Amino acid sequence: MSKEGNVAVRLGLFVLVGTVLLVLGLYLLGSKRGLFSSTITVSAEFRQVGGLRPGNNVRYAGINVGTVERLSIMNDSTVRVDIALREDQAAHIRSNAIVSIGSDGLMGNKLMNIEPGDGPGEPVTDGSMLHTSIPLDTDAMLETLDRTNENLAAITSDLRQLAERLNRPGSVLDLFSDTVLAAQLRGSLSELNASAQAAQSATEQANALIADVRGGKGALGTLIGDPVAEQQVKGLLQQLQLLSDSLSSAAGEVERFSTGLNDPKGLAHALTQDTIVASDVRRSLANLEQGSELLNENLKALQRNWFFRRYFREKEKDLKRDGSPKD
Amino acid sequence: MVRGTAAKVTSVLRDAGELMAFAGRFFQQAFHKRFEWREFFRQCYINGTLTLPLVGITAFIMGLVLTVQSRPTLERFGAASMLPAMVAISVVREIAPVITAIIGAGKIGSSMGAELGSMKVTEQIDAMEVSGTNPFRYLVVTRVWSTTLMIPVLMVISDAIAIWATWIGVNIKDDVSWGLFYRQVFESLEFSDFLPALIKSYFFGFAIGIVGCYRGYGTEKGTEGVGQAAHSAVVTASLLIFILDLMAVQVTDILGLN
Repeated sequence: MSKEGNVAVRLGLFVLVGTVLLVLGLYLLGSKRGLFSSTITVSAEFRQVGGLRPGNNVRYAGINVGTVERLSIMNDSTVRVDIALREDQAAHIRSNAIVSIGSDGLMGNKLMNIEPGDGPGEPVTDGSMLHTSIPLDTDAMLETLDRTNENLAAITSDLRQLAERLNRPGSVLDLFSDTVLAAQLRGSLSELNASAQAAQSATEQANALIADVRGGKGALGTLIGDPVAEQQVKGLLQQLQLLSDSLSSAAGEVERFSTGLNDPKGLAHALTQDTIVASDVRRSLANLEQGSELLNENLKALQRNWFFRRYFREKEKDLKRDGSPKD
Repeated sequence: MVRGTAAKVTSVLRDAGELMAFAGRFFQQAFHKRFEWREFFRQCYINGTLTLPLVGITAFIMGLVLTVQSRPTLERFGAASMLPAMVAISVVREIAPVITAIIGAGKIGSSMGAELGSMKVTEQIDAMEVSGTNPFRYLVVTRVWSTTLMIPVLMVISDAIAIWATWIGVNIKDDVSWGLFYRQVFESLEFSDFLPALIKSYFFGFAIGIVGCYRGYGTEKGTEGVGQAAHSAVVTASLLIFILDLMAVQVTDILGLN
């Protein structure tokens, strides 16, 4: 090859390398922005976007799926963000997905995160409007951090005072160096341990008893576990119910009787409550007693009468023979 | 003293005006249909291919040094993982274009000033005119076009070399795979980092060529003038590169590309 030909080859190689590197660099930069793949545009509306810019990455499940295409202020409280999503990736994003604004690490660029929504949904299409969540506000975070710091300072101050009190002579910490108290404490702990063992034993027995009852052992177990006994108990309860009803009815009768007694127009009230009637009755009874005595004398006189003497003698004979008078 | 300063200022302004006129003459001849392709390719080879080793070594060293020196600062902020991104942005935005242009100004500008200067003082340029060849179109237009087109190519290659050196620099203390490294680099880079640098490198190339040719073409005072032309070509081109860089950063800032 001639010298001129050699020069041309070297120059061509040099220019070729430069051009290839240039094209490769432009391709890599362009593919990052999705210039060499078809995209769809979806939108989301925020109250504020916290420094988001066109070109910022959009991530779904942590993978870059597009870029922020345009930001436009719709009104005094709404900023609309148009997102260019790569079409092949957009098939996996549902219309109920939630968009939020975050940052790539503590010092990194702003970016948008798309999170899957709850439940099923249709894949997003060109022009879809996605739901949004409120972005993290750094000022609000710092404000909260400031309050936390103040609380922390107050807690630290209290802890310092507590530590100072604990370090004073005669404080609670002296108890830790008291050997007598330690021995007493050890004894108490030993007794506590024994009590705990006894309680454990009692609990085990109670558990065994409950297990027996559940297993149908014993009278209580039979009562609980036996269906026949259960029916009997039910019958008993029904009879008790009937008895209760009867008692209730009787009580009603008694109440009515009592009411009748209290009725001033009734006979019972006159007998029990009216003092005039009571004296009349008492007098009548005295008359009856007097009449009875007179009748008794008349009967004695009748026994001695010849007309009835024979009858009374036969009566005495029957009584002696049978031990009982004959009618 | 005031008279001396005024004379210097007048000289600088006259120089700037003559340079503008020289550039205007270039644009008059630059798109002429009788273009000296053979000389143009020869100049591309000299100004591009033969300059690559020098630019490549410089880019490699700059990438490596910048990485190693940036690491302690970033580690202090707990951001050592951002080293590839930070160095890559620095290299692509500023270091590769300016370093390539400065190396180009040193090597190409001085050689152009010396070559054309010696041709001027030995009256070769006059002889070309006598022989019917347009010396401006043959010597100046081809050289300025070659530097204008080759400096950007050199810059792209030096970008790649510097980023590769950055990867080596990162791996001196860390263990980062090339795949992860280049993803980190291109994740952080944007078109707004690369395109302004590429565009300004064309202006740098043009400045190197036009200043080198202007100084050589206007050489006087014999062999002493040749040395002066080479020297002033390097100084003026370097100064012009920084002025253009300053203007470029203002323009990109106004356009919102920073």
